[in-house]
Amino acid sequence: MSDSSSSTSGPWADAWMQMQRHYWDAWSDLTKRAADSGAPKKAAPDATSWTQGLDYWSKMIAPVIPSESRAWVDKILEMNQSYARMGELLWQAVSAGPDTGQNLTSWWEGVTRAVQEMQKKASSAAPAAGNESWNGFATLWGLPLDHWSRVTSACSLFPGDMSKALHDLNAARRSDALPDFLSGWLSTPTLGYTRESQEEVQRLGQCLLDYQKAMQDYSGVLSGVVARAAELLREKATERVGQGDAFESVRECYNLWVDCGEEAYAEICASDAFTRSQAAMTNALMALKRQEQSMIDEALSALNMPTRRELDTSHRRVHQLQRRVWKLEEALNASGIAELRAEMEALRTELAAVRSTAPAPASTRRAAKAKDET
Amino acid sequence: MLRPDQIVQELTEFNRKVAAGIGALGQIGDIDVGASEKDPVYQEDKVILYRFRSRTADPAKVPLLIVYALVNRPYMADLQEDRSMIRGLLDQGLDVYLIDWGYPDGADRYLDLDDYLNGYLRRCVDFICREHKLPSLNLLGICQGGTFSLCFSAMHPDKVLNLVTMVTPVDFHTPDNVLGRWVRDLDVDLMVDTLGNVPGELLNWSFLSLKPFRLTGQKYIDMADIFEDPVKLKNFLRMEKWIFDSPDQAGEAYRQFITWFYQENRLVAGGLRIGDHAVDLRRITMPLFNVYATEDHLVPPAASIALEQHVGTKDYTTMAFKGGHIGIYVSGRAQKDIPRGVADWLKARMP
Repeated sequence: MSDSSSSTSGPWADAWMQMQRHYWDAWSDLTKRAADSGAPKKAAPDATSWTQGLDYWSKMIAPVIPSESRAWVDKILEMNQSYARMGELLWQAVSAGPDTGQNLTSWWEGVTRAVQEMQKKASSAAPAAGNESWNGFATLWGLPLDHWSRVTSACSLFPGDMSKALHDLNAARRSDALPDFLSGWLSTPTLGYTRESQEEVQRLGQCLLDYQKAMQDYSGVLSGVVARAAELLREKATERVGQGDAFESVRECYNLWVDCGEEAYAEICASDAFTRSQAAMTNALMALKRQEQSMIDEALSALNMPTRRELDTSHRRVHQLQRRVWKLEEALNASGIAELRAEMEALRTELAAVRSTAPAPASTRRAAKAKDET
Repeated sequence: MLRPDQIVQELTEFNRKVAAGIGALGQIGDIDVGASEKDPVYQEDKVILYRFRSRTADPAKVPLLIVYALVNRPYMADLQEDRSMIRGLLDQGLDVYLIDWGYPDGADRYLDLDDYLNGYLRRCVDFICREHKLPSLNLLGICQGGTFSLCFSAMHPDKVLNLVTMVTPVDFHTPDNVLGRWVRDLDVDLMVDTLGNVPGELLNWSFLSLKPFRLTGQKYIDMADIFEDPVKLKNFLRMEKWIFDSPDQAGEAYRQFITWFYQENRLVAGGLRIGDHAVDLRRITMPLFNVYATEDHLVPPAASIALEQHVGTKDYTTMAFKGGHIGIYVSGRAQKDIPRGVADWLKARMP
């Protein structure tokens, strides 16, 4: 969260406070509904921060959003938060000096400081993909690793966000000694009656370490994107300012940032280092999940419950049978039997029609006459 | 020069729009997709063959079958009334069929490319030919569906009168193919053996990761500008629905597609065999119309353009559409150019 106390003492503090009032007015309708619904009251937000205000509001509003809509509301708020954060930094930068808004050079110095600040925040957040500061900056800095952690949390044994769940382990790996210690422990010979299950647990541990290492490597490659994007932003913005063409809006600055981000990302994402690290991360996750499955299957087997292996076997057999049916049907069609059957059916229909219109045989006529006489 | 009071105003206005937008989104209701009337005419397992209702008095005698990709849903070609390639084709007097591959589940994980191409697709083609008492039809393949159409035409050339491919990858190893580079070191066997079917979310991650800043950040910021326009907002949400409406991929088909096409590039390098059939692009001797998008970030133009040098046909036409992989279906210019271009080309080659 930004520290805006120094900048709010400038001539623009009133405007900021006024903006906050407008801002709260804009949310008031939905917020009122939240209050009416009996949602717990929060402490009043710090009026000097956009992002704190947004955070406060999103907590207030959460209870009135139907659960099926919460995902997209969260998404919008998250985007809004990131955008507001950029605006906040820019605001701090351009309102800090006494002649802000008058002198292009001092204005640009302020903006440059803001860009550096953004880069610093991103760089410090990047290595720890699971922590809050990273997620908060995700839309501007954290992609696509943030997106990856969301996707993979759905195919992991661990509930919720996997990278969060393993954050402590991730942090531990950063010390030099611990990984070796853990790896050593994980390769200790196993003994006794439960040696096989001990080996399975060791394998799982090793897979976890490998996945964490792969994620860290990938994150490391990605962190170059942020630095390069910020560098490009400074270059392009400096060029514009040199031509007397300064930013006229936050959106313009944001759009330029996105362009620079894409450009920096495009340079890196086709490189061998990126390609290898991304594939390694995916492969490591699959290996981890495979090991999880194997252990779960063992447990299910012990409980006499159906396992993944059994299901796979059943599906394979059903598929093999289905293929045989398809082939038999094709052979049947090719042999012309279907046509013969259709022809026979047509003849039957024709015969029935002929019978219904033809005069009845003499014996039938006699029987009918006798019946009439009685 | 950006002034602090401007920032204040801009962010205030932005927040006002977002606040209003959350309310608007809550009221917008269902997001309907699929503009043209159609009837299911053949079904097998989860695969449904649709026939679109004609919009002209005397539609073409040889029908057109659209083969879409397994990835994402085919309604992209018929998203809404004013953004529908299919509607455009119908208005041009074509008789249009479409295969909907459905959503594979665990029981479908062993379906492979032989099942899809020599099974479902061939039976759909046979059904249509039987219904129309024709030996062959016109085939239009989109994206991965285009690759499938090429394979099918090479394996069963007698069943395809004319072939149209749109934004279709052919050479998977062109230098600008980022997706192709990304999967080269992927252990596909481990992935399929582990996951069975490959989740659609995982594929979405790959596609969105091609342009992460734009596709997962900027477009939602831009959404604030259309919050107060219900028509534009619905259009945006339709597209959003399509992007994330990603079926899981049948495991064996995915394994084969990634290994044979992306990793080994067999379609052009040779050695591709699907089921009992060798796939040799030189057997494609029917007229071929290849449409690619010049700004395509998923299927780079070079990956499509390569087709010409590998096929056996002497009647090869190419069309460059100025736009991206999605714009080729939904942009305003596409509505005018693509259906008319396809229909004119087909009509000149139909009896």
